Amino acid sequence: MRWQNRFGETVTLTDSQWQQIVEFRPAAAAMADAISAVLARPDMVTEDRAESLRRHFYQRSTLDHPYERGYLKVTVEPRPLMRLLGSVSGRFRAGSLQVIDVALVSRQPKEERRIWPRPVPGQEPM
Amino acid sequence: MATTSARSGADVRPWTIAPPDPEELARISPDIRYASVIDSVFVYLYGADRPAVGLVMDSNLTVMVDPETDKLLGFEIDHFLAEAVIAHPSLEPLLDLPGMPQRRVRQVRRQLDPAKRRNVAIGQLIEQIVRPGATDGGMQVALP
Repeated sequence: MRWQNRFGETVTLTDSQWQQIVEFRPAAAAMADAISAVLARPDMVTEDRAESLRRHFYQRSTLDHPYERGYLKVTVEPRPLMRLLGSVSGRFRAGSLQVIDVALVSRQPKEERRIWPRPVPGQEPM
Repeated sequence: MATTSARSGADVRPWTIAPPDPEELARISPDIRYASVIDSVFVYLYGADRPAVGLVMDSNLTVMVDPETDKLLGFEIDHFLAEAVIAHPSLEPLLDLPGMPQRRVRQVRRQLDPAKRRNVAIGQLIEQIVRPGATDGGMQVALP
C-alpha cells in the first residue's frame, strides 16, 4: 500500500509490516481504511521523543462504534537504508517513509514535540 | 476507578478504566511480548487477540482497554530499551523477552544505574518483610 502524507511525501506499508502491526494490535484491523486520511489530513503531527526521525500523525477518530473515541495515530519513519542515507545527505527521498504502527489512543503524549501545525505559544495540547 | 478523556473531545464519553477484581487478577497469566520495530513491550492480561484502545498515561506508558466495556486488558510500555527500563530498573526482568536485540540489551544493562538497581533490590526486600502475612520460615525478622 502506498499513500501521500500531508507534506507530499510517499509513505508505504507492506503486507508483512501490516501483519506485524495487527499481530500486536488486533484493533488496527478496523483502522486500515482510515490510514490514508490520517496521513493526508492529520489534526497534528509530532516528533517521537526517543527517535527523532519518527513521526506520529494524529486525527480525531471518524471510525464507527466502538472506536469512535480518541485519536487515530499512524506512526511513520524512514526505512532503515533511507535513514542511513538521509542522515548523511540531510534529505529523505520520496518513497522512503514506511508505516510502522497504527493505533487508537486517547490523546497525544505531552512529551512529544509538535511539528505540525506549528505550535502557538500558550495553546493547549490536545 | 480512574477516568480519562480526549481533552478536546467534549462530545464523547470519557473512558472509565475497569480493573479486574483481585481474585481474577490472581488467576491471570499475562502474555508479554516485545515489538522490536517500535521498541514497545506489550503486556496482555487476557491474550493478544483482544482488540484494545490505548489510554495514554505518559510518553512511555499506555493502558489498553476494551473499547466497548473499558475493561483493563493490559499495558504497553513504549521506548522500552531507549528510556523506560533505564528510568525504571524494576523492569529489568523484561530484558530477556524474545526478539530483543541482544547487543542493545547488553548496552542497556551497562547503562542501568547501580544505585537504582540496589534500591530496587532493597525495595523488594522490604516489601517481602513488611508484606501482611509474610512468613520467614521460622526466622525472627527485626524491623527497625
